[in-house]
Amino acid sequence: MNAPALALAAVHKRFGAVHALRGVDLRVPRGSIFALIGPNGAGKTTLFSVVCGFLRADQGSIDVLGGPPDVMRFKGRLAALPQDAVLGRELTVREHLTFLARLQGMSPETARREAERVLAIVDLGELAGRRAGTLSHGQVKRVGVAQAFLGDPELILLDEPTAGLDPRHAHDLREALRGHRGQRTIVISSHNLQELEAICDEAAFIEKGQTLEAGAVSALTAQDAEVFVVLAPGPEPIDQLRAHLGDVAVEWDTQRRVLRVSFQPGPNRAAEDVIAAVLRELLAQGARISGVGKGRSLEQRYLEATR
Amino acid sequence: MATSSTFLRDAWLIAGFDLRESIRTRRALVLALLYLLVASITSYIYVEVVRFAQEATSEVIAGMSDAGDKIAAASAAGAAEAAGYSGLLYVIAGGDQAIANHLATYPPMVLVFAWFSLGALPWLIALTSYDLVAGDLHLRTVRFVALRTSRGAFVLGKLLSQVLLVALIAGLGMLPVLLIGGVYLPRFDVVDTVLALLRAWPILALFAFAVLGPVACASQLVRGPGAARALATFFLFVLWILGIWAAFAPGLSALRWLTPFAYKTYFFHPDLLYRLMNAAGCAALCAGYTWLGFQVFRRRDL
Repeated sequence: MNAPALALAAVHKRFGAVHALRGVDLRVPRGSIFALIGPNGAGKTTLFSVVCGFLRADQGSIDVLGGPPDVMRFKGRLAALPQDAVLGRELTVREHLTFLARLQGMSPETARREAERVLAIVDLGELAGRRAGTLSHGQVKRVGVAQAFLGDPELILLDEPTAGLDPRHAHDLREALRGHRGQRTIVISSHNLQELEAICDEAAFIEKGQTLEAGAVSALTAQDAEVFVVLAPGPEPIDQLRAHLGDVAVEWDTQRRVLRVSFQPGPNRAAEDVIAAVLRELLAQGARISGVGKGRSLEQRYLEATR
Repeated sequence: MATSSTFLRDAWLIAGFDLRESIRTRRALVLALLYLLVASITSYIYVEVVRFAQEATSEVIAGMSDAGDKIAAASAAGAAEAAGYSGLLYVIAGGDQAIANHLATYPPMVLVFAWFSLGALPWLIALTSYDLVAGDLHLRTVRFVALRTSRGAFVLGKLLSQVLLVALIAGLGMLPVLLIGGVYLPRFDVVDTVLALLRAWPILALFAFAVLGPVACASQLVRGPGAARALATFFLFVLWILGIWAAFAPGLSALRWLTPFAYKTYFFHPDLLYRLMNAAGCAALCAGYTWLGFQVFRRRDL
């Protein structure tokens, strides 16, 4: 098995009396798009900062790209969008990006080309000559994302990359991130769980500086072990369904009219097979179906995990 | 591990970038203008003093009827002026006749400018460079750089950019000397003055290193620019007092070499070896204080 891009074990970080990280464990597989999910103050930004070496952990082990956090080993291999870092106001966007690319070891010409390339990713090519101090909040955020892609690093940490972006640019950025799946490891922290569910392969729930749950998004959302059916007003043949399906758990939410069927997945029992069986029985009993799906949303799972 | 060539390359890149950023800020412009203004006023005052002395002498001599008296008076006035100037140079040289003699090789107007600049530079640097690290810490701009190079290269780059900035501003300050001297002084030797100014320029840049050491130290110890400015000014003030105290404290005079102010005079020593040792002292002082601050910065959270 490939070594993970990022592995943290029992990491602690205190700021005076505030215990920001209380033994975080995390394993981010190489090539995955990983979601870091948690409420404000959960420790996500602190975690990113520890991984980048901006903050020193008080305790625990941190393995980033096969070794401890060390900037000269990272040089160009690890990039990050720091949440609240500000670019200087006086120089242009192009000058900033060219400078950062040159610090990664590129020649002046390569650095200029690279700056143009990453600006195109965030649709800011036309603002390359603008002073950074004249950009809007969203544009600054996009420049921040662009600098994280300089030189195609192996591991990219993006702290709330779409916060403050308009819907169009948020969508474009999501698509751009999705396009990197399998090519490099990307860790994203965001409060937009729908967004994370759409683009991430793996996720971890963090709360009060601890990892609550982590794993593949499909496993966390029980994509292979749970199906749901939304019933329109009318017959509610729940007991008949339970009797028909046998060894599965059936939950009925009367208020939202959502029927959930949890099962043990196996070689001959995929979610699609269970959906077919459930729908056959419901239709046979005269129920009116208004929606069908697999698993739970990441948001639901997060709310359950943090309840 | 970073190779030394990568370290120096990164430091140079940071210096160039930071210098470009600095010279486009309004603060740098205001300070450059302030420096130009004070340099202009200093030059003008010198010109006026010279003119007043010459006019006063001329009036006294004009009131004499005897030609022999006139020659004697002019000669006495010239001798008095020369003696007064030599005495002044002796005081400036800290009682070292060799340095005083070397100072006399500079055109007086250049000497006035250089001495004014050496006196003003510490406080100018405290005003312009206090946030060389603290500013980036405060805005967390350092995080963009910290993933790409070492903290040591970052600090060295910032330091170099400030030295270059000071050299640039000091270079600009030479223009009023040439302009005012050329316009107002009847016997103004432009070539001689330009050559003397070019001799003084590296002195200012090297002295800036010595001053930047304590300022860079202060800037690495605190996060906020306001605190960094206060601390840098405090450090320089304490070092200034220490230098004065050490000069008069028996057996402790060596302590004055811990202050940047002790390095002004020896830049004008006639012996090149002394001047080189003085320059090395400035660099060592800068490195020492910066290293002290770096011991905090290298471990601190960014």
